[in-house]
Amino acid sequence: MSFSFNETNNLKIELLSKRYPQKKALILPLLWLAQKQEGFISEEAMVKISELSHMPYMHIYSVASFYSMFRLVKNEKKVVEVCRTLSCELNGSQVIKKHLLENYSDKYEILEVECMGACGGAPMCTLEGKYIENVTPKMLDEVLNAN
Amino acid sequence: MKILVDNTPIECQEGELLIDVLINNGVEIPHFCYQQDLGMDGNCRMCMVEIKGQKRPQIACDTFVCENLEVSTKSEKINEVKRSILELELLNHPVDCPICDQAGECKLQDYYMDYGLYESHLCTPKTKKGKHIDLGSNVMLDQERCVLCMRCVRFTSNITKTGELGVIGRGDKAKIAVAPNHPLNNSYAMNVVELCPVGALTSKDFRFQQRVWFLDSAKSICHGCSRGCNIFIDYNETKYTDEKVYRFRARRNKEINLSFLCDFGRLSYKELNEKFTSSTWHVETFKEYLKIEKKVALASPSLSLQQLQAIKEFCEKNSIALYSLPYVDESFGDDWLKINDRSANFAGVKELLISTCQNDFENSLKDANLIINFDHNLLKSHMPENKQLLHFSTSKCDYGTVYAIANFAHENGTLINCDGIRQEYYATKYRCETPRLVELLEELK
Ligand code: SF4
Ligand code: SF4
Ligand code: FES
Ligand code: FES
Repeated sequence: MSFSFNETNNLKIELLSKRYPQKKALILPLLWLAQKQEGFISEEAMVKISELSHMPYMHIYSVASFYSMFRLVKNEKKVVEVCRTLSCELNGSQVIKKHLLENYSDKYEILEVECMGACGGAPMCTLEGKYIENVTPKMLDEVLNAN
Repeated sequence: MKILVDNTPIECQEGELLIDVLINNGVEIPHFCYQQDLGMDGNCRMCMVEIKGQKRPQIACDTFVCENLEVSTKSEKINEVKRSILELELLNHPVDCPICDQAGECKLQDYYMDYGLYESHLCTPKTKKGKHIDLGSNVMLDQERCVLCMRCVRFTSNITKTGELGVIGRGDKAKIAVAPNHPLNNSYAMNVVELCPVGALTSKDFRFQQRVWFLDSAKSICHGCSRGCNIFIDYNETKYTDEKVYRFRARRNKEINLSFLCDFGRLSYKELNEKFTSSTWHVETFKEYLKIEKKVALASPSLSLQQLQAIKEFCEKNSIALYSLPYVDESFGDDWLKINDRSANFAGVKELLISTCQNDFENSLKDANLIINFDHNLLKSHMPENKQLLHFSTSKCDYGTVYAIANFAHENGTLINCDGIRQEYYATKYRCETPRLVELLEELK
């Protein structure tokens, strides 16, 4: 199994490489692109990134494992991330989390994450990366059952 | 110029690192991440000192000396700082020193004895990490014992540039690792074991073989190739057994190998333990041999100058044609330490003007009735037809009459390396059962 970036991403990479004086700086943006493209970061993707950034494979792996938002294994289930930081907490993220864990943990992978920068719409969660703001248990039922 | 360390003046040069000045002058300065040949990294904070005029303690590995710097390495304040750092290092440490192979040469253990807190503040459970992970190339990792000094990582990224090692995860989950399916794989890999200041990296070859405090060390030189890397031979003699060499360690030499060895050289100690038997023990036997007409001798280019000199005199006296041929291995060398010329002292052979011409040697071989082999590998497994073969050998020979002589662990001597550097090596302190070549030739006179 080999990995290659799709055409749009290749164009993006071309633009990105002009932006940085060192190839090394491409690591984080490329990891993001790979994750967006496949839903997770595979070993092959890291090999590719290691070639593009001229850094040893272990260095890429080490960076990818440092950030909790990078996924290194393919998720069998769809991912729901629920924010647990202050604004969401004050607006009832506990209830949302409980509701998710009790009713949806079979079908979805439920992850607690830190502030996603959507405090204005607290409490919030994401479904496969899409933000759901001012979320209520009822909304969750609608969205998650529809999926 | 002068600086003042704990009220004692020390001479040093402008622009030197404070930690180097302290180390080179034998001032005790605890440190994990700094290593003289890997340079500074400033991550462990163990090398804190107080500097007059500075509000906070400073790390010695990132401070350059300047005129009249006043340093204190031992105040109560500094000890308190070290105590806290060690407490942090040990928060998740398994404290399995009794079964750890590094015990006795572990910096964490040493420093904790000096500055330890001894009472735990901990009420949460320790973070568990991986144990006895095989990283490849004979290196075993225990992630729980690691202090994350990054020496091993810096070695593979900056020195061998192979980049196999790195840190994964973060915070108290951070640990050293190789990536899955990308094991440690370079011909200098085992250096990380020696670089690791604690028991996180141990050598598959040496672990559990011997407690380090039972070992003695002799200053010697690796005979694996003409680089002549400086080594310590670590050896021990236990009751009712012969002396045994347990490992080679790098001995720092700024001109040659810094603090490193190649894995081949590091493991070549095994040859020194090989047992083989002499087929004769009597000097008289040789005297008989010497009566044979037409003799030719071949000397190993890894013998010391002293041995070669004695052989040369012996051959001249007995009118024996003497040759030495180099050990060349085109597949051995690389662009760092390893060299294709696998003789330890070929430059010495040339200095003594011993003939190294292959053709001449083969011609004299044709005529000769007796071949005397002074430890050259060529004749150990190969028997020229219709000749008598006599070996003075440090290892097993398949044919001929063999007289065992002491190997380089039991000799003092001088070698000249590939860059013309003349170096001495010294014998281990135990008596060797086999005689030394120089003394033997003396007897044969
Ligand atoms: S394994 Fe050893 S050398 Fe490597 S970071 Fe840990 S303590 Fe340092
Ligand atoms: S480079 Fe040569 S001398 Fe140095 S350790 Fe390796 S074999 Fe021995
Ligand atoms: S606190 Fe939840 S999005 Fe900022
Ligand atoms: S030795 Fe100075 S910070 Fe580690």
